[in-house]
Formats: sequence, structure tokens, C-alpha cells
Amino acid sequence: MRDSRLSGYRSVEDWSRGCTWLHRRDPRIKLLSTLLLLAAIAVAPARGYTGLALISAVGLSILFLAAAAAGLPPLSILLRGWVVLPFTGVFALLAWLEGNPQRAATLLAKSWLSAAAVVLLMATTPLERLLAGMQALGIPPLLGAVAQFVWRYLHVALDQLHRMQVARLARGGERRFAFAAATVAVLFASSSARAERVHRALLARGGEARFLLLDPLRLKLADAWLLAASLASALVLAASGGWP
Amino acid sequence: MHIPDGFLSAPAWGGLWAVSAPSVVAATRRAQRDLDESKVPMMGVLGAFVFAAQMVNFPLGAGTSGHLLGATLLAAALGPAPAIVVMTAILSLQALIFQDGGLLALGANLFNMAVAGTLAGYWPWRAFAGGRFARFGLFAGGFCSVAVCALLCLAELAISGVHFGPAAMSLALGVFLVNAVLEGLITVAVAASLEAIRPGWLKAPAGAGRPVLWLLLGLAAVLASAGFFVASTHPDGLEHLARVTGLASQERLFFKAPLADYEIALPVSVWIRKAVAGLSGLLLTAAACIALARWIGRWRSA
Repeated sequence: MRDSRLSGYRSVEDWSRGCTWLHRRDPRIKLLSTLLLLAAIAVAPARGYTGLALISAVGLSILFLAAAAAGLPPLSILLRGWVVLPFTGVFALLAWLEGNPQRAATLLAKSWLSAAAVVLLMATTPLERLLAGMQALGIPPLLGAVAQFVWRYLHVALDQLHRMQVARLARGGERRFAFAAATVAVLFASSSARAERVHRALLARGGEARFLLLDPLRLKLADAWLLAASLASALVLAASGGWP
Repeated sequence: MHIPDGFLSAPAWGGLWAVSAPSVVAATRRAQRDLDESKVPMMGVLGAFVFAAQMVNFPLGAGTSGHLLGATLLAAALGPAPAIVVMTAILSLQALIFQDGGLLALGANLFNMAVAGTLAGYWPWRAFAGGRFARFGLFAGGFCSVAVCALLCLAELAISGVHFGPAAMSLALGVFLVNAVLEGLITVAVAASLEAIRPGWLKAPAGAGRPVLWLLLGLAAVLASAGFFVASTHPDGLEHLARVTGLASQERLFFKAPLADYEIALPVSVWIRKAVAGLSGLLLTAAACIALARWIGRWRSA
């Protein structure tokens, strides 16, 4: 019973290990560019269906071109944005049933575009570099260290969970509420013991947890070009909705 | 309950970022002050545990299943400030990896689940920790945590102009209620299993055991969220209330007379009515809680 969502993320992680121009850009700049695009999508006023269609067309072409430039399959990136459908679909259906189909279309289009933009960020930036970038941007050091730990040990915890579930099935385990609670409790106990071992190992290496990158973050001139390009596309995107 | 981007209006997500970012920074400071260095790996590895535990299905019969959210468990194991930091890390990673919630909406999601949800889960537990009703405290913690998250989430959506019909609203509230009860039950079941493995995992903090005060704080959090929510969905909640309770005929005496001059000079806009309804809802809640606290205090001392 492997979690399918995390294995779905594996392909995004594979993509993030590329080394095209976009992959080599500084994670801080890529994060800022994504936030610019997201803000543009959020504030773009959709005047009627034509405005909405324009926003979607401009947004999709920006993401499509960026994905193609990074040597990634653009359609897969865009389709991955549909993960928001369960949440968005319900509210879009509600708006549609209330007789506001345009509101429904706006919700669907904007949340899809936003999610696809984040997928593009993750497909061009390894997560540990992105976290290092966020730390360099000034999130509290403790929060950064905790996020790095969570990401590293998530796989360990998930592997253990998988082994426990297979073992239970092999013994003819039933699906019962109490068994699931016991699984979670055992996972908690062993995670806690693991944390103590990790701490002792850190002490043995003489100090606190530091998360180093093989290739340290450095801003280059090309990063300024990326920021300028994304600022321009964000402005075009924000203006496109009010065009007609 | 992870709100994606595209739902919240700019003032809503901007304002909630402005609230949640300082809250998380304050929680980080507090966690750093209170904890020794060994707790950093503990926070990280337990964060990974909660992330994984959210993927365990709890069968409920009839082919349905639920899962743990874990804020209460985390707050009981680590304390409130470290739990807020860990929940922040988990929610941020979920937004990045799974697109569970948008990046702009992350401020709102952090406020609902990491800050308010964790505190609402912690207070009831703390109130009863170490006593005979510790399990009830855990259940109440799980329940309040999810109830507060859900109400805040609905309120934020309503403020941003997502309209719910009455049918959709009752359906959503029903689903959230079931989820809140489920979170309470799962939290209690996991804590019971933990006690069987090794007693003393979820230690009562020093100075715990003023159940009434903490319970009232938890209750106030739930009621305040509910009031906020009602105020935002029914812009003229007061008038509605007046009509329902039959005060409508005397309405002029109560509400309009002191404001008569202003009404002529300044037509009351929807926004002002919303704000007034919201504020009066909060004040009423606070007054009810204070009155209840006084009453309980007198009753206990008598």
C-alpha cells in the first residue's frame, strides 16, 4: 500500500535533477519568480469569458514555454496541476449550481494555473536546494532545520510504515481501527527513538545539524535576467484579463 | 482543508500572511528559548512521523476510512510552540510537494492548521493532562483542533466571496463535524496504544491542571471561529436574529434610535454591517465566556 502521491512526486524529483539553464538558476530567484506569477494569476481581473480565456492562454503559454525551455515534458507538467481538482471541483460545482458558471470557470482556471506553476518550480529545483534558498531568504533557522529534517526522515518513516503494513498483511491482518492506532503508536515510538539516535550521531560528529549543498547558492547575472523575464510575464499576465 | 490558490481574495490571503508569519516567528523564538539542542532532531523526525501517520487509513466500516491530522498529538508530545513550528514545516512541504494548498494561500493554511489548530488542540489537552480525565482532554483537543481549522477555512472562503447555499453549508458542516469527532477518537486511540508501549510519552507540562480556564479558552476559540463564520456568511445576522426572536417590532427602539442621525447622513454599507455583526459576535462570545467563568468560579468556591 505504497503512497501513490509520493511515488507520483518521484518523477517531479527526477525532472528537478536536470541541468538546463532554468535548472541552474538560483532557487531564491526561482521561488520569487513563481510567487510573482502566482500573485499575477491571483489579481488578474477576469472580465467575462474572453478575459478568462486570455488569462488562461497567457498563463498556459508562459508555463508551457518555461517547461519546454527546461527540457521537461510541458503537457505532463500542466496536467499535474490537476491535483487540485478534488477541492476546486466541489466549489466550482457549487458555484455552477448556484447559477454562476463564470465564477466556476474562474476558480478552475486560476487554481489549475497556480498549481501548475508550483509544479514547474518543483520540477526545476531540487527540494533541498529550495529549502536552502528559503533559509537564505531569511525564514527562521529553526524552521528551516526542522523542514530539512522532515524531508530527509519522511522517506525513512514511510518505508517503516510500509514494512509494518506488509508484515500485518502477511500475518493475515484485519483492517481494524485499533490496529491502525497501534501502527501509528509504534511509528511514533520508533520515530522518537530514531530522533535520539540522530541526536547522538550529531553529537558524535561534534555539533549541530547543518545541511550543506554540494554546489553553494550564488547569484549570477543570468538570475537577474530570469527575474526580469518573470516580472515581465507576470505584468503581461495580470494585464491580459482586462484587455478587451 | 488545504485551500488552493485561486480561492482567496487578495486582502484575505495577504492579511492572513500578515497574521501567520509573525505568529510562526514568535513560536520559533519561543521554541528556541525553551528547548535544548537535542530537540531539533526530535522535532524534525516527529514531523516526518506525522507526515507519514497522515497516510495511515483508519477503517470506519462500510468501506470508508479517515486519517489522523496530528496537531494535537504533536502539541501533547512537544509542547505548543515546537508543535506550531513542526506543523508549519509539514504544511509548507505539503504545499510544495503535493500542491496541497497553494503558496499564496499558505499563509491562510498556516493560520488555520499550524497556529489556530495546534493551539485549539493543545489547550483542552493541557486542561485535563495528568488527571483522571486525560483521555477526555485528548479527545476534546482533537475535536477542537479540527473544528477550529474547518470553521476558519469556511469563514475565509466565505469572506473571499465563495458562496454556499444552505444545503451545501449543512453538508460541509456535517462532514467537518464527523472529521472532528474522528480526529478526537484517533488521537485517544493512538495515545492509549502509546501508553501500552511505554507510559509517560505524553507528559503533562508543569503547572497544568487548571481545567476550567483552559477549557474556556478552547471553547472561546471554537465559538469565536463560529461567530466569525456566521457573521461573514450572514451579513445581516443581527437583523436575522431580531426577526427570528420576534424583536423585529421593537427593532427601532433597540438598534435604530441611537444611530438615527447617522443613518440619514451615511447609508450603512454591507461592509460596515458585516464588521459590526462580526465584532458584536466576538464581544457577545467574550461576554458569555467571562460570565460563565465568573459563575463557575463562584460555584467552585461556594
